This record gives sequence, C-alpha cells and structure tokens, in this order.
Amino acid sequence: MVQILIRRTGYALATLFFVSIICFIIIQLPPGDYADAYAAKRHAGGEIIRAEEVEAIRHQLGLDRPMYIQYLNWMWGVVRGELGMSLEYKRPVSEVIAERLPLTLILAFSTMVFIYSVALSIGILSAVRQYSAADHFFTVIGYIGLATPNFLLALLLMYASHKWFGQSVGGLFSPQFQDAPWSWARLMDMLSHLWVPVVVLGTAGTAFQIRTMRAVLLDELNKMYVIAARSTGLSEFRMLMKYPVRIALNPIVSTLGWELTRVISGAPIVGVVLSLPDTGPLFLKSLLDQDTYLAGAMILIYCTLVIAGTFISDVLLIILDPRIRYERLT
Amino acid sequence: MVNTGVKVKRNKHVRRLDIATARQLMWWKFKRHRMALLGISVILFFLLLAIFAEFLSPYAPYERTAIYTSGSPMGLNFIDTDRKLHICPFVYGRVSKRDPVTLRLKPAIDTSQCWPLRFFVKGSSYKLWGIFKLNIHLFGAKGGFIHIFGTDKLGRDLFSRCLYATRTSLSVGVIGIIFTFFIGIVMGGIAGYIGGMVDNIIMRIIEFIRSIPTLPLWLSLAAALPREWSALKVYFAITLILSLVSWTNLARRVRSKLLALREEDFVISARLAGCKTARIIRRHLLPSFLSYIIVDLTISFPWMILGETSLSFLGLGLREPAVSWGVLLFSAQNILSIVHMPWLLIPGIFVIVSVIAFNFVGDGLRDAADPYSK
Amino acid sequence: MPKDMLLEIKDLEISLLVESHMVNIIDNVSFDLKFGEVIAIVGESGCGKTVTSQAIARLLPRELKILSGKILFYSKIDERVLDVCKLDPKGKTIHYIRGDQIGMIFQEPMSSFSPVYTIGNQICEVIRLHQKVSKKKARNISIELLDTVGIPNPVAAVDQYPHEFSGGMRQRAMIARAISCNPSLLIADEPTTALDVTIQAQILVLLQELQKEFGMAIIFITHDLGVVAQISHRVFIMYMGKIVEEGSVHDIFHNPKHPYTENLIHAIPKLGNLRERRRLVPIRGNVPSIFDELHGCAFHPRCKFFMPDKCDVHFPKCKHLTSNHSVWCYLYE
Repeated sequence: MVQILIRRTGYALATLFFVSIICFIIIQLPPGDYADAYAAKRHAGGEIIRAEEVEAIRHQLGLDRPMYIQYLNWMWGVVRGELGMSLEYKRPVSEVIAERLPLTLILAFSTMVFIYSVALSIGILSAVRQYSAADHFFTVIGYIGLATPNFLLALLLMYASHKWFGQSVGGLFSPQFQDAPWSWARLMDMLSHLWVPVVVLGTAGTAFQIRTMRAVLLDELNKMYVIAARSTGLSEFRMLMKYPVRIALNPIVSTLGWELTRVISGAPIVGVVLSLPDTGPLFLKSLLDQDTYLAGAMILIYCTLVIAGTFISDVLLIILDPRIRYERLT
Repeated sequence: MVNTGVKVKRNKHVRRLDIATARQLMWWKFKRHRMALLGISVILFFLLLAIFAEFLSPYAPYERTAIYTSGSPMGLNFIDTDRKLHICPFVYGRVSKRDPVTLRLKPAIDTSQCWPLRFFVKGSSYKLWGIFKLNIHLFGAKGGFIHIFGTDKLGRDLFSRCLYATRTSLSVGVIGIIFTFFIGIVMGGIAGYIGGMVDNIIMRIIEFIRSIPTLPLWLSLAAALPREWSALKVYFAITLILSLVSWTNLARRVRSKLLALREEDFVISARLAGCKTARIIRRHLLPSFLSYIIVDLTISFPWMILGETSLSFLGLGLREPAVSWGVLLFSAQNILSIVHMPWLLIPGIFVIVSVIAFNFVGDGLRDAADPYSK
Repeated sequence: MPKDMLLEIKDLEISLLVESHMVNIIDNVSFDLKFGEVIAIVGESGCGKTVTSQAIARLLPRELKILSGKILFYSKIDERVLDVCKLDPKGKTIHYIRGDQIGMIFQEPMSSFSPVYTIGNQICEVIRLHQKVSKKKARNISIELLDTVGIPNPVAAVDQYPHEFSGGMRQRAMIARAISCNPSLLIADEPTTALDVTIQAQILVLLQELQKEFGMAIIFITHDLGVVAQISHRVFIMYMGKIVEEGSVHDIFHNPKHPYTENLIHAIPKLGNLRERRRLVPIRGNVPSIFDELHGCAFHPRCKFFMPDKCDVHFPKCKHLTSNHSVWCYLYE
C-alpha cells in the first residue's frame, strides 16, 4: 500500500513538472517579452522610454538569459510563491490571485459535493427502479444536462430569474456585502448566492455521474453476491447499500479526479458569465490582455488543483477497494 | 441433428438471428434504438440546413434591415385584427417609433399592414456552394421584411445567421473530427505497432493530456493566436486546438485493438487456419475496429461543438465576421442584452439540440457495436 | 399435516415475461421434503432447477413470476405453516425465513461474497441479523463456524478478504455463512460445479458431515448424477421445467425408467469402464430453447422411443411404479 502511495505521488509530481513546462511555454508564446509589454504599456501612457531602459529591465528580470535558465528562475519563484508581476494590476501575481482563489476553491468544492450527492441518490433510484417514470424523467433531464454548455445554462438562469423574480443572480454577494469584511452574515449571503454557479457548473457532471452510477449499479445488481446477500435475510435497503452500492462506488470514486478536472475547466467561463469575484474573470482578462505571468500562474494553479484532486481520488480508491490495496503486497 | 422426423418449430426471428451477418446485426440493434434514429434525422436535417443555407435563409448574413435593429422575432399569423382568415400566413408590418421617454427610435408593430409570406422570392444574389449564381430564396415577405428569429443590434436577420452558423459550427466539428482521426490513428498506431518504450511514452502523454483541465488549456492556446490572422486561419487553428485534446480516446482504442491483434483468440485461430495478415486485418479486425472508431468519433463530435461554442462565446475562438453558434451567442454575453433581446439565445437551442442528437446517435451506435449487448 | 414435513411444493408454475409474452419455465412441479432429508434435483442447464430453488426463498428475478401453486414451509420454531408464494417478497416474514430458516449456497463461490468486506464481516452480519448477540460474540461464532467447515487458521481467516481465499475455501466460507443460524433447510445450488474434482469431493463430504451433525434438510441442485449418488436420499429428474421421474437413489441408478434418466446415467463417465471399453453415450440433440414451441413431452425430439401422435400431443400422466418411484412417460401407461 505504501508502495502504491509512493508511486502515485511520483506520478503526480511528474505530471506537475510537465504542467509547469506547458505553463512556461504558454507564458512565452505571445510575441515579445515582459519588458517589451511593459514598455508598450508605459508608452501608451504617454511616457517616453529609452531602449537602454527596456534593456535594463530585461536584464534585471533575467529575460536575456537562455530559455532553460529563465524556466528555472520562474520555477524557483513558483516554489517560493513568487509568480511574477501582473502587467495589468501592477502588483505581484500571487497577491492578485490570493484575493480570489478562496472563492474558486469554495465553488469547486461545493460543486463536487452537489454533483455527487445528487448523482448518487438519483443514480441509485434510477437503477433500482429501472424503466420507471422517474428513471425516464431523469434520463431525459440527463441528456439535456449533458448537452447544454454551462455558460448557456447560466444565461438561461439569469434570464429566468430576471424575468420571474426580477432579481439578478450574478455575483456572489448582495450589494451591501460586496466590500464588507467577512462576517457570519456575509457568509450566509454568499451561500444564498452560491447555489446558482454550483448548479450551473454541476449540471453536466451530475448528468454524467447519474448515468455512470445507474449503469454500474445495474451491472452489479445482476451479480451473484447480491442474491447471496439477499438469501441471508437482509432487508432490501440495507442489502442495497451495503453490497452493490458500495461496489458501484469504486468506479464513481475513480472518476472523481476527472470530474474535478471538468469542474475546474468550466469554472472560468461560468465565473465570467455570472460575473463572480473568483479567478474566472481574472483568468479570461489576463488571456485577453496577454498578461502572461498572471495567465501562466492561473493555468498552473488550475492544473495543480486537478492533479491534487486526482491524487486524492486515487488514494480514496485504494482505501475503498481492498483488491487494489493488496495488489502489490502479495 | 435429430432424425426422428419431427421438426421443432422455431421462432422465425430466432432463425434470422442465427444467420445474420455482423453488419446486419448492428443495423437491427441500431434500428431498435428509437432515440438514435431520431438523432440521425435531426442531424440530417441540420446538414440540409447547412448545405442549403443560402437558399433557405431569406437574407445574407451581413445584410442589415436598418429600420429594424434589435427587432424581436416576427410571428406568423393567419388571422388578422379584423378576424379575417388568410390562406397564406403573414407578418404584421413594423414601423419605427420614437420612444416618448428616451427619444430613441424603436421598432413597433403596425397591425394596419400585413406582409404576406411568399415562397421562392427574389432577394439578394448569392453563389450556392460557390458555383451557381442565384437570387432565389425559399421564402420572404411581400412588401416588407421578415425576421422570424428577430434581428441583432445591427439589424441583421438572426434566422439567416443561425443557418450560416450551423454550417460553420458543423464544419468545425467535421474538420476537427478529421484532425482527431488522423492524430488518433497515427499516435495509437505507433504506440500499438512499435510498442515498448514508444508505447509507454505515448500512453504517458495521453494520460497527461487527460489529467489537465481542457478549457483553460484551449483558452490559453487560443489566446496565443496572433490577432492579425485571417478568419480562415483562425478557423483552422481553432479546430486544430480542439482536436489536440480530443484525440486521446481514439488513440487508446486503436492501440488496444492493435495489441489485440497479437492476443485475441479469434485472431490466433484465424492465423492457425492459414489466414494471411492482410486478410486477418480486413476480415476479422476491421469490422470490430471500424465500428468502434465510428462510435468514438461520434461521441467526440459534440465535444467539438461545445468546445468551439465555448471558445467563441468568450471571444477567444472564432470572431466576426465569421458566423458560428458561439459567435452568435457572444452578443448575448451580458445580462442587459439578454433581458432586452432574449431571442439572441436562440442559437443556443441549435447547440443543445445538435449535441443531444449526436449523443443519441453515439449511444445507439455504441450499443449496436457491442457484440455482447442484447 | 405429517409431523416431520418441512417443505411441500404443490403444482408450482413460474413464467418468464419477455416483452409482454409469457413463457412457462416451471410447469406443475410438485415435491415434498421431510426434516433432515436430502433430496437432489437433477437436470441439464436451463431445465428450471435453479429457478425452483430460488422460488422457495422468493429470490426470483423481476422477470420471473409465480403464476400458481403453493410452496408450504413448516416453520420449526413457531410451528406455523407458511405459503411462501403468498408472502410479500420484500416483507418481514420472508426476511426472517431467509438466512434463519433457509440457508443457501451458490454455484460460483468466486462471486458469492462481496469483494470489499472481510469474510468475517459478511458472516457476522448474518448472525447479528437473526440473533441478538454482541459484535464480539458474533465474531467468535464466526470463527467457530469457519473452524467447523474446515478452514485452517480460522482466527486469521475471519479478517481476510474473499480474494485471498481459493475457490474451495470460499465455498467453505459460503457454507459457514449459510449454516450460521442453524437453518432447517439448506439449498445448495450446484455447489461443486465450479470447483476442481478433488475439492468437489471434499465439499460433498463436508456437507454430508454437517448434515449429520446439524440434522438439516438439504435440497441439492446439480446436473451431475455422480454427485447425487454420494449424498442424497431421493432424486428428482427435471427436464424443461417438468419433473419426469422421481425415486430413491437406488431406483434411479439401478432401475431408471424414463428414457431421459437412462440417457443421463449412460452419460456418466466411470473409471471402471475403461477396461470394459464401454463407450460413453451422449444424449443426442441439444436442450431445446424455452422459446421453442414444444407440445407434449418436451423430450420427444431427442427420445429414441418417440411415439408419434402420442408423445408430441399431451404430457403423460404420473405413473406410480412403487410407493416412492414415479415416472411421467407413455412407455409405462
């Protein structure tokens, strides 16, 4: 078991390494470097900047050194939590991100909780009552949920709430709490707004996981051990929960990391549409402005979240499934 | 066989099942999947819309009706205000009125005018498929204009633009699928054929791509495209970016099937029976192989459409003057425009319906291709 | 009501629902079972023996419906007579009977345990379900049971997972779970089919010993007549959902009457026969599909004594040859 854990950790670190290279490439992709962009920015502001000055900045930041040195410099910064300067905000990237990252984390976490709590219960219901009215209903909902891009769902929700409730669902805070310091009331206010992005972000995943749960559980229900467990006199509900559902959880847990990938992946676009004060709009803006250090750092953070999630789901699976746990020991 | 002279009556259906070829079996199974047939019909319908977009749309995509900007959808009517029944449906006329508060010109319904619907009318000229120079459109309104989905801020007909967008978006899917197909076959082929170290590296790459969030990756790649590129260049770049992520499924499938070439019992028995490799591939592997490839491609098609739509919606994919579903939705980005012009969301219906249709077909094909399903 | 009666099945009919069609799987099956008796139901795969056994515990899959008939269970504890067919399959009574009064073991020991819990967990569960004992007590009982069924080092085995057990060990554990509440009836559905021949013999011996020790009745379901000869008192031969012959082991082996029984016996390989060069005689033809429309005796297409216009018209009536040897065949009318 320890061996497997070590191996998974190795995988995660290797993936992280490649991700960092990709991020670095993305930072380097746009023509020109930070010094040029900085100069252009100042120039647009009406200042006159001499070529030597640009050169000086370049030298100071090490941008005239070979690529791999630049990468190592950048990585060294990342390790120490220094992610470079944001062109747009004229502040360290880490500071800009730190303001908004907690909300992204809360959003991602709540969405995952939403997806799995809804999908598991409905999936079990659909499998146990196969071909019932409820099963058909959720199948239809599932197809629509999978087919609707989440930004469109966000737009529709916004339109509907404006039309019927006359209120905007954008943002995460009511106006009076917008800039207020954290308090119990502000937290409650945020939670009352949170469900919209959570539903928007989670619908496709929920639809997918319902289908998975239903299919896996239907498979498991035909297995011998179900009849064997029934033959011991267990009540149907207890039998269901202890035996087939418990095993059907394994494939569900193994898709946890993948589902998190999708949630993180969809978060920026939903954040933009619903104008949430999380990292989404920040990320998009950085891309549009070619604010390279900020964009690179954002991608790095998104990927790190996903890798961490995958790692956790792997570990969970090892804990859940004794067959994997003993794989390497015997 | 039994030689007692008694014939066992067997169900006709059972006998047909015994002698059917693999392809027939697949077709029967697919036909039973009613949703898949529905999906196929919807896709064919969309294809027709895309192919004959110029003819079916009453206007060119950039043609503006200056007096009807931000106009709402014009409903077809049969009965007018005098309770008179019209055989041919009509739309009420529209006039520009000055809003008494804001003093801005706003379109308003004028029930005194009826513009009847006419078929095969002459309108702006176009070149169908770049060959036939025509100016006939399927329908139009006599005496005025007709915008059944309404117009955008510039007064361009949303219905016509939806048809042209269907063409773009579906073609992004098709071309993306072609890219996916090639990358997938080549990478999977190399991995499965050479094996060993190369196989290992390719599999790691696939795992890596699958473990990073796609949309941020798409976004950042798309953002790195030079702004001065032409619409066509951007179009191909975007499709390429989309397929850069989606080839992994197919590559895995191809690889595993190639590995099966060495291990599967039926392949070994075919080889023992003296089949040449070419025959084994053609007769035994291709049928099982091909259907899986088709299934995989069908399943990844909706992802292409959703990807393009999302990118364009954020302004990082296709851009004006290109017309795609995502580009059309781009103008519905903020709450104000949706509240005032909810019809701008109509292209979203196209997206949802097409993706559902493709998912239905994908499910039907997957069930049909699975020899073990009933 | 006879005093030592345990189970009585009367005119049981079970149908399969396929797309609004009904196909009879079990047709007019009747038999009875006394306390401590071992009977065997023998037939080729698909003849309905498993369905019959599952009907007794109301474990039929959803597509299978009991159309008519009675399954009377004479409860040993409160002296009640229960018609299992009339019970709610999700009700309290049937849950009480299952596990406590009727234990079951199955064909595939590999998949009869859930892979994610320890063997001990899955045995304790049954004990605690039917008896009010503490966790620790249940665990001790489990260890004792594992010891009884011959699992070496039961103290360690109780905390092991099913995949750490071999097939034979798992079947032993399965038996331990089935007898954990000392049931009056044990239904063994092809318990040895998936095992190696040497293990098969061990399991049969074990079952025999347990039967003597605990005095429970066993319904043995198998397609292997060799297994039957070793363990059972009475034998029922089933073909296509009907019982075609019943009798004592001696009757069936030395005086088989139905052509199908005869064929089955000739199909058993015997070691001693190698010298005599007696060849095995396979039964010609295949088991027909349940969807085939067969009239009369279902065996007639494969029968060498087939009588046209008789065998393929109506199913023969029961012919009692002796007090407990009966056959359903026109040859004896």
